[in-house]
Amino acid sequence: MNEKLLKKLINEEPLDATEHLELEQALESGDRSLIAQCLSSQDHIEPSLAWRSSLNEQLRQIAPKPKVSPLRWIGFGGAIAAFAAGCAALVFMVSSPEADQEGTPAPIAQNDKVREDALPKDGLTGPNNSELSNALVTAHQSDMAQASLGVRSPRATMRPATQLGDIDKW
Amino acid sequence: MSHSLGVRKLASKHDFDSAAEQALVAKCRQQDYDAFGKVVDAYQARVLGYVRRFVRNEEEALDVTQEVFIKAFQAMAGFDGRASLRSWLFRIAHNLCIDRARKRDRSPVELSIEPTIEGDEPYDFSDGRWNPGESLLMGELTEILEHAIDTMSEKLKTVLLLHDQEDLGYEEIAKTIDVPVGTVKSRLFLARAHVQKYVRAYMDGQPGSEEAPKGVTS
Repeated sequence: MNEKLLKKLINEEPLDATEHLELEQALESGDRSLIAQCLSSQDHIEPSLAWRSSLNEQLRQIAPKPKVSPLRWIGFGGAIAAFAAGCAALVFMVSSPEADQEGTPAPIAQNDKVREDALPKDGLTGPNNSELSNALVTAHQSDMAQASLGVRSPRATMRPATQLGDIDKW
Repeated sequence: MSHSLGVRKLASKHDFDSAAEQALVAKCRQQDYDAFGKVVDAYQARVLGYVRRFVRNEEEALDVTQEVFIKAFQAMAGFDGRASLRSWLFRIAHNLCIDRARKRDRSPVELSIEPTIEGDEPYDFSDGRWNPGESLLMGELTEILEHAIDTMSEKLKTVLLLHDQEDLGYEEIAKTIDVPVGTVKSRLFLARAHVQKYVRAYMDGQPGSEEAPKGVTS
């Protein structure tokens, strides 16, 4: 190889076509040289198991922890919300003054029956009475009290005792 | 960190085929620890073999090799797959070695490759592997070669090792070290010329010629 080309290579200057060809030929012959053969046939040295163990430890430290699925949190939150709602409903049912009058779950039905028996048989009370019926009963009892004292309410009229089934005629 | 003991010879080099590598890379991108372990298994010896040419001792080489794989694991999500996994790992190794060398501010001495009157033609290195009489010579040549590589500038050494030892192509090397392909060819030629000069001095019976290098190029 001529000196001019060599200096160009050392200075990493651009080559013309002829010089490029000359370089290619030199490299091709070099690929078959003992240098390349020596280098490519060299055995590699494998690191020890202690080295590998240490690397694994470091990789484990920087590896991201497995992410918990957002759906899992949604499901968990949903369960908590349902539980809280159930608790709130239970508290509401227990503390509500109308709890005894509305909603008749099976275990309470027997108490309603007892209460029905205890109430006067005026045809206005029953297990499924509403506020209206309560108001009517109160008004009726008030009228009865006034009548017993000799005071007649202008709006109240003594009514004959009715049968239990007559409540539908109101 | 001390891992210098317990090194052993690797029986064979192993690579992945393209499809297997892509599948592995896809898993590694998702920070799959086990998949990355396979990458380490496949390339740890090669990367160490490359790195130990650039650092002072075995222990430092082992530390740098660990750093290569840690950085690779961290950066795996950004690996676009345009280059091969092997050349990408060598790129990381190359950058780490250059960083270390800069910190160390070590500038290796290199023999002049100025052409001489009688040494203009490259030495004829015929393949002596099938000649039993030359096996001893091969062993000595390997030592000379090691010495020649050790005294080479890092620019030349990188190209020589990636091409002649790791069998990377010119384009792959160019991408790995971020230089034009023409520069890779120039450096490869100069690196071989550097080694030839060492070996020629040995063949011509001039022991000690490498102790008195003439000129420095880098």
